[in-house]
Amino acid sequence: MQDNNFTVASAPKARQFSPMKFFRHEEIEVKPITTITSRYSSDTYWVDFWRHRELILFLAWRDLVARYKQTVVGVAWTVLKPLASLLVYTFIFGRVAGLPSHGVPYILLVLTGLMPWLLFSTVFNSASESLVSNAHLVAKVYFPRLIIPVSSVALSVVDHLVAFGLMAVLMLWYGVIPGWQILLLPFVMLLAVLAALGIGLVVAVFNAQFRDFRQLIPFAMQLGVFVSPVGYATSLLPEKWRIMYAFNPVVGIIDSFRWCILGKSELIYPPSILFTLIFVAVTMVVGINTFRRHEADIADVM
Amino acid sequence: MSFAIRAEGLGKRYNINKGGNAHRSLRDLVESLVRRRAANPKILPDPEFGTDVPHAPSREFWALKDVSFEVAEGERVGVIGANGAGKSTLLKLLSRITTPTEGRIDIHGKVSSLLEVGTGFHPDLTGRENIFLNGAILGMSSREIRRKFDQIVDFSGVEKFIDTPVKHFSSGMYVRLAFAVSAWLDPDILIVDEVLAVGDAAFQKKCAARMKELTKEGRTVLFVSHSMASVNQMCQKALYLEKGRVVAFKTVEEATVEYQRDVVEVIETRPWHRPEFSMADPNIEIYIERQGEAVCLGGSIETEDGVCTAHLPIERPVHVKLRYRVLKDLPFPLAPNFHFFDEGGSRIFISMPPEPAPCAAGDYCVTCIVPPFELNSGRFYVNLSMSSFSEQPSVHFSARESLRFEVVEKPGVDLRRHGFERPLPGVSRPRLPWSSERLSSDGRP
Repeated sequence: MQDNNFTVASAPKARQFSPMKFFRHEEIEVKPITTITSRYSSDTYWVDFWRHRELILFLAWRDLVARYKQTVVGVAWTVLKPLASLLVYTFIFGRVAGLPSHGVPYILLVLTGLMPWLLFSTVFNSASESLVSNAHLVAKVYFPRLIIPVSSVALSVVDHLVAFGLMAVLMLWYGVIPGWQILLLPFVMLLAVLAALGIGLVVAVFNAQFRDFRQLIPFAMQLGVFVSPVGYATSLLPEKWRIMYAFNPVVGIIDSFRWCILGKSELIYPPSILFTLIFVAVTMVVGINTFRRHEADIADVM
Repeated sequence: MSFAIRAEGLGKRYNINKGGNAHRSLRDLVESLVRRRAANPKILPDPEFGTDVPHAPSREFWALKDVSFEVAEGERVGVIGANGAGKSTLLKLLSRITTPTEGRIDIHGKVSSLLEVGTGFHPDLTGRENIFLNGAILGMSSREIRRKFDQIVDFSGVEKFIDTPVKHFSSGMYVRLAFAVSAWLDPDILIVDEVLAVGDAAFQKKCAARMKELTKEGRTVLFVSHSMASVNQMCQKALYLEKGRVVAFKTVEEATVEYQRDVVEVIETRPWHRPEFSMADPNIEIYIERQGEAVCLGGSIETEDGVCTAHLPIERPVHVKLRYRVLKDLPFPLAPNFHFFDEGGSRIFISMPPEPAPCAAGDYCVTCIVPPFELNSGRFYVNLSMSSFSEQPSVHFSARESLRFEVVEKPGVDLRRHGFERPLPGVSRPRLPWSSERLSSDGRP
């Protein structure tokens, strides 16, 4: 440094040309220009998102590996949790309350309600917690923040696939062979994931801003089990209430899920499915917009 | 020359809420909404949360304001300033962790920022797994990480434990592995917060060497540090921030010197220069090993005419005077010694008189004359000490940094410049004898 200053003829240094450098293809790449202003620019967001796509898998993989290394029960835990709920709901709704089961073993009715519900609630839970639990990343590194809730979804889905094994075993046990409708199951699951993610995105932002907001979530989820047809069939409701009931987006998801596995066309109530479709579309748009609008401030408020 | 980073009118405002907590709870929000409606029923609750309400005004705080600068491609720029000057905020804006409140930044190229080492490390994952995770978080592709994996492991020096969960690592191993991942990033622009101070001395040296390597090849670097030495070593220019504003953006030498001067004046809330002192001055720190024999009375910096001043012309001698009192007749000789330091705290030399100083009881004054040009233009300080070495070496007193002065050079006084007009670096500019002779045509004298 000192010598540089001392040089009498301080001509600007000629750019060094090295042929090796020239032929390395990374160097030829045009350097991107990023503009940062107070207003959130949208034009490069999805390009950025795509560039960071590997991070989605890495974060999901981190959570997965970490979870199974931490718990002694390991993989069994993901089966035990739904199994416990399954037995309790079957006992209460089927035995104690003695609700009708459309001619299938009651445990299967509960199972086909519990599976989509768990998918919905775990995706929602992990998406809404994701920002807070990754606060240290948000404070130290830039990447499109949407990566975080999206990667949390991936983990929940993997968890859910494990629980699917449980379902398959029980169905074989009771000799239930699903019809062609099972081919629609992935679509129904996608609906469940998107609905949960859409709300989860909004709640994630709330959670980051207000520390006490998250305390409401377990309560809402508990309530959800009973206002959604998890432990009973929708047909249980009187006709005049069914249209109101359809405004719960989970109803359409659970009904279609049951139908995919058990057949039984009386389980299907078209208005609820229509509403679910609309709900998913709207929440995704609202969720992503809300998230995007607030994601720039997230590092400041956490 | 194209730019790498251009900031224009950059500003970042934070709201400090009551209690100084950035978090707000839902309870606060509901409370304030209720209060606002009570105060003015016509106002509806604002759908945007985080909006302030009249009854709970949050104080505004500008962490950065009107910051404009331009960094050319390949420049290495240090960012310096006191705590709270806005350095970290600037880094966060540049690395897009938060957005500015006003102004804009244009960035030309791929940015990697290292605001800490080991971001995202998970204690339950093994070293190998964490390398991939951390790499992905920092923006590397898995292919890129796989390609650099061996270098990273090799650099960290934890090969043996690479498949052990990092929670079993010692803290030294942990940071070494963490830094190793960062050390193999390949961005156009590198933004580094003081993360170099990790590991033992050997590893720090390795890090510094790697950082230097990283900064070659036209890579642009922004480096935040409190260590003026490392900023001076690493950077060409420095951006000096104070209270969110740019104080100076110039060569690293000028900027760091300016910063250090301001720091001294802030700490002492008085001018830096101190051409004289007496023992009554509470700012003087005296170090004493041996008491009851000789004490310091005071000292001064004077010109040869006896004028006490802190600004001394380079072409005149500097008289450094120490007044002291011998409390009783001493059986051993006293050795005054003056320690000269440059502004950065490096000791330039120590001077002792040819003869011992008087040691019979009484008051004395000793003078050390620094010849012209012995000290270069710039700022210096002196420790005035009195020691004795005959029985066992001991310090009777040492007045630390007691005199501070500045050597100034007017144009034309140095006849050895031969037309060079800019400041001459160095702490000293001694008048050394030179000679020259003509060579005969066969190259021999």
